[in-house]
Amino acid sequence: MWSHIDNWLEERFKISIIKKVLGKKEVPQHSQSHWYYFGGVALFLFIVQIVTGLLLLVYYQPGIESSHPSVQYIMDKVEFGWLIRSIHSWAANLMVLVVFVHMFSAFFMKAYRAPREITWLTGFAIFICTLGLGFSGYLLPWDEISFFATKVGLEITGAAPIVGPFMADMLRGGESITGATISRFFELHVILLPAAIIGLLTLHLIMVQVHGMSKPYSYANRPKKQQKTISFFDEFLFHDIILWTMMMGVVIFIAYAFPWGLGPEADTFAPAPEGIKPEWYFMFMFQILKFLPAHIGPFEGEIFGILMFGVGALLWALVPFWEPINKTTSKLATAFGIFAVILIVSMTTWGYIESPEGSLVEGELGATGVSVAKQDGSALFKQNCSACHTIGGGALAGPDLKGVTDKDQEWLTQFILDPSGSAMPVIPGVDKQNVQAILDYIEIESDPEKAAAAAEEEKLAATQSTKALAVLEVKPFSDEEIENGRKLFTGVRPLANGGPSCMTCHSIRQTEEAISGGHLGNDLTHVYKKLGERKGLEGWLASLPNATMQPIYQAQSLEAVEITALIAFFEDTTRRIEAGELPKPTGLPESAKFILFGLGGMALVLVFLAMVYHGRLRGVRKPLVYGNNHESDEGEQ
Amino acid sequence: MSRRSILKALAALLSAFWTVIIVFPIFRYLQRPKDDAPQISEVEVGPESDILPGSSKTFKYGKKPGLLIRDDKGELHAFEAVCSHLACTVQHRPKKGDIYCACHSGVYDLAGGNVSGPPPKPLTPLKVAVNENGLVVVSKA
Repeated sequence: MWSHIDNWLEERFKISIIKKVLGKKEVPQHSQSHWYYFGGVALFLFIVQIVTGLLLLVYYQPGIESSHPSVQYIMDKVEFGWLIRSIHSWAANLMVLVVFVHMFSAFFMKAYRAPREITWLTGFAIFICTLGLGFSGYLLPWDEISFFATKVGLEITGAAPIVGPFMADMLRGGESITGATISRFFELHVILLPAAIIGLLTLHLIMVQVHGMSKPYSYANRPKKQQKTISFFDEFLFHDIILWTMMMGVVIFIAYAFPWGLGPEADTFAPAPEGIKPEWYFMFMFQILKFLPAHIGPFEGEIFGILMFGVGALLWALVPFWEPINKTTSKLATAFGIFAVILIVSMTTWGYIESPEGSLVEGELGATGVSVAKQDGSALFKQNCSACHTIGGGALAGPDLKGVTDKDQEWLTQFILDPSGSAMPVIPGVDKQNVQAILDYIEIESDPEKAAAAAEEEKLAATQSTKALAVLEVKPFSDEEIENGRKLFTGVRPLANGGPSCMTCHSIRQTEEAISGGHLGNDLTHVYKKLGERKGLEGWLASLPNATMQPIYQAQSLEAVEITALIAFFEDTTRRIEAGELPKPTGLPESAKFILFGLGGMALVLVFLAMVYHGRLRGVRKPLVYGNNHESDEGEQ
Repeated sequence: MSRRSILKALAALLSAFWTVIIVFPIFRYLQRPKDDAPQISEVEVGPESDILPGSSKTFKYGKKPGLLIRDDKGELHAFEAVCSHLACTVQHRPKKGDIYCACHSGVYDLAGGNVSGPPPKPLTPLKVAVNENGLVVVSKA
């Protein structure tokens, strides 16, 4: 049966020829031969990118309205979606890193020398395409950071002399970044650049087969008998498979342990978030441009910098053609390479020291914290709130705060002091007086007509706060209160003032089976922690301030007893989760277990496999495989 | 047991791990998550008086198209307007007094019975009622 199939394939594809070529292929063994593996790893990561990219395409919808929500959907709703996106992002970064290493190792080993110029040039083109993929892919989730990174990147492109403005406009699809830019970047990212890489890669790999692995001079100058080799098929391939499996493990593990996040949706009119910086592989260019003076000779500093990058890249790409070839080692090219490495590493490091992760934000806010007491509400608001909030200017990352002060003041203060559980960060060094200043400012800035209505609403707030009761003392709730809360939540006991029960719109995982209510509102399993425990919940339940609930419950507010009972119920839920009485309600228990189990299994098998495989080389066979005489030793047995 | 057979077994096991760890997540990923939208159980189509004898009205019944017809005797019929053959949306032909599927020329009578052409069975009927406000309410039969 198998021989039948073999024959059929042989007649059509002449597999024996390929087998013969692969069987003869040998990889030089010397002190630097580990660098040979990076090409294979880069190829592997590229395959990972294609597979995960194809999967993301199933749900991703490019467009100014749909990009961000569709990525959010992949991460929140689709099973394993968070993992696949995270793998795509992490493997992308690893791929850039590995391609860098592969290129530099080829450079220093002089692998570009005749007759391998085409291999080098295609490799360089693949490198540029890889950076292009990184840049174009970064915009697609359409979150805040990606928007500004693209904006800055295209500004720099636009500053390049002559072709710059044309290229930037072409990429942007106009003067500013819009939905048109997303479409263009989408096409680049999923069609043009991958297709270009596949074409270039094919040529690159064919060239490697045609010329064989390049040999460093020190190796090539040895007598033939001392030029140790290993067979590509299967010794080198075996190492490659082990490496690939390990890479797979590393990528999945990083993606699992450090899931790639998604920032708030981009707002083209919002100010840039502080501490914004480019992707690490563009950092050195960014830093050099920052460091250049405004004018160098007849050029503007920035244009000069871009010109220098262009010249540098051209010199780099054309190294096989300008390097003096009569010498065994070219000190000139090596010096150029070392200079490039030092420049890139130092500038990247400098860039990160100057703006390490988030420190810019913290530094600024820290300064605010020190001088906080001296400032008025307006300044406080502008520094600490305006990145995400407006007063009457529509929602940004956070809601529009116009009229927010109509809500329960005590709750607001509490929330601003300790917003843990929500997306909002703590304002460093803030105290009650600062919060009051901010709130006063918001109140003034809100519609002045509110003042008229204020009297009435104040009355309402007053009645609510008198209702708010003394649940704040730290005493355990009785089982009766918890049970009452459960009944109120599920609607078994109707609310006294006629409001709809929580379950109409919310679900909660309180029992083994979970109380499955409506899906209009959030799942309330973690609401106790999220809204600031007893005190926070009390404030919330007394006013129910969100846009959907407020109109419903304003006229049918909760009674004090009801609030207590519901807090008791929510607190009990949290207690039971923490005590392990309930199944842990994270989104990914089964899938996470599965992944870890799979990785563990893979690692174990790999170790065994390596042990058994290498065991075969003991004794008489070792010189056969590692010697240079194995024409007759294609199969190891 | 030879070293070669152990190697082969281990290689097979490794491939199996690879396959499972890749295929299973992809398989689950490709299954579209369940829709949170509630199931439609009944739909108010419109005032009863709007639908004259011999006329019809199409409406959304959940995610499917629905067809409400008043025959010449004044009786109301409602169906899922989905052909039982290959699921094209059917239409009322007032002049011929039948329900027609243009995809493969399937014909149904006004009671939803399959008359000619490829449809293998009648249209799925829906229950019709008129509520106290004079609105036609269609629900699952």
